[in-house]
Amino acid sequence: MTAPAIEMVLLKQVASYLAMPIFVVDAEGALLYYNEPAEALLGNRYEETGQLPLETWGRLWTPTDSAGEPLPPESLPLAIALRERRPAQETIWIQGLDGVTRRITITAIPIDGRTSEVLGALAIFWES
Amino acid sequence: MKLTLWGTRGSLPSPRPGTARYGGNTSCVQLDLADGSVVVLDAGTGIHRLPDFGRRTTRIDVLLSHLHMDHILGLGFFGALFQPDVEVHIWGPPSTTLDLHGRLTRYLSPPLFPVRLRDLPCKLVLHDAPRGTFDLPGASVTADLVCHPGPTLGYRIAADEATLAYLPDHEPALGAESFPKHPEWTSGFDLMAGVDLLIHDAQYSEAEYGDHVGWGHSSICHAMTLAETAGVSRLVAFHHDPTHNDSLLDRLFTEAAARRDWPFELIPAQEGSRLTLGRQPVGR
Amino acid sequence: MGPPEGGNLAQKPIELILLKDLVSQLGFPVTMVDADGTVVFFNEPAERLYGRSYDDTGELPMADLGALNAPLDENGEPLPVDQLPIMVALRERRPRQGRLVIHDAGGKAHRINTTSIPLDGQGGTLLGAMAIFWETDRT
Repeated sequence: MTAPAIEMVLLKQVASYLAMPIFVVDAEGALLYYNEPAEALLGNRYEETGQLPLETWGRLWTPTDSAGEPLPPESLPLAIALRERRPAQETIWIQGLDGVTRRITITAIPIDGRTSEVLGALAIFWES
Repeated sequence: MKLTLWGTRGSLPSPRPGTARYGGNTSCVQLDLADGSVVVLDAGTGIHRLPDFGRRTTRIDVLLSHLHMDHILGLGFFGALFQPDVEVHIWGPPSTTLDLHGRLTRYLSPPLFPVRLRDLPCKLVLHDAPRGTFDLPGASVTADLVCHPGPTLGYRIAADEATLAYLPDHEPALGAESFPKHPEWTSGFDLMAGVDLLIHDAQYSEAEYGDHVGWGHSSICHAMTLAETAGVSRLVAFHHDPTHNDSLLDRLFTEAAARRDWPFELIPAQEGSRLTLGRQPVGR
Repeated sequence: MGPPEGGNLAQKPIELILLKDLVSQLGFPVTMVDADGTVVFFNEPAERLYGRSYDDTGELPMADLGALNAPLDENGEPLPVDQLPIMVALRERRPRQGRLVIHDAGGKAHRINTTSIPLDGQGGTLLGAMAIFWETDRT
């Protein structure tokens, strides 16, 4: 097993201490981690979700736009941030695994290491 | 203040003939204060070695640095929890979503443990330790989050005209480019600055640390460099790696001490050893 | 060597310490302010964009960094410090995106997009804010 990049180690530690809901994916978009405030919003603990590919977690919380139309995983801000290597922001609706529907604003930021390789991305979200 | 190191091992209990001197029990330190108060630092397997306090002690405070198993594994076997006339206060790191009771219950409940928290005979009081200073009988405690995976507290304890800092799991060098040249940017620094005694994570050799960056622990060299910068008087090198036997630890600490003239006393933590600070308890 | 004396050497909150360590490793420009709006760090890519090193400036009020960078809004008008996206994010405690022009130490203008986010610690503590920015095209 290769050791995780130090940037991702630090990111996970920072995320665990911050009060904002934070969601972290790797360079392929697979879910790496989300913190306790995110657990409250998403309706289940990260330990219950585990590492999932984008295609799976991107549908897990049934993201929709304001018209109620399902949003494909590749249109989510995290996927855009990874693909286009720039921050992306969007307001969407999700249904937590606790059954509660929430409107959230997501700000996603790609994580580029010093060697310019894409390591992953993080998303911070607010219930709006 | 009198300290007894009941558990000095990190990560995993490691009892075997080759670890008999430094010990195989995981983190636990007993503080006996001059006024008779008792404070216990962490509840690793070493906690089962604490003495029976009898009727003299009506309150014990347990300060948990964090809830990794090696720091709470012994909690269910802590004798004071089964004494109806004793008040046991357990302090732990805060969480944004689940109180300490909820988090401890994940371990202290079936199927992992046959006894539930609510069934313990003692008067149990659980606290999310505040970040900042709070008072215990006989002591003033300052707690703050430090660099380690998961919510982890370091503690600074002032009592009996002495100060002690306890950071058993700590990786302040993680990602820090000029560690520890900038104290204001060094995790845990305020807790340990100028203390009489620092108990600090010293799990790895320098060679081992390279393969364990991000695991949340320090090398012996990190701990010593940090102790020097912080101006501590004594450093208890703690949280020995479970793979390190006594002869290896002897060699590592001898080499580290000989590297240069250190301005503090280096004390490799050995299970069962006793240290004194400041004013002493009377009659113990 | 004992503990250092003098100066503002109170330890930063652990969240800012870890974030600074993270930001130091990143390949895109990031600037961090504390809860008072004091610039507490900017990384190497930000140094290249500003044309100044953090070692030279040290911690400084955002107003001072603003005076050095002479930011302009999208219409080319001077942007007051309190309207900088990072300061808006700090004040309103919500993310803020923006487009502006800043000037490096040589006076050269750089058109940038920025995303600023507030940093909230546990217990509702406002720790500061950080701005991630990237150059769109040179003017």
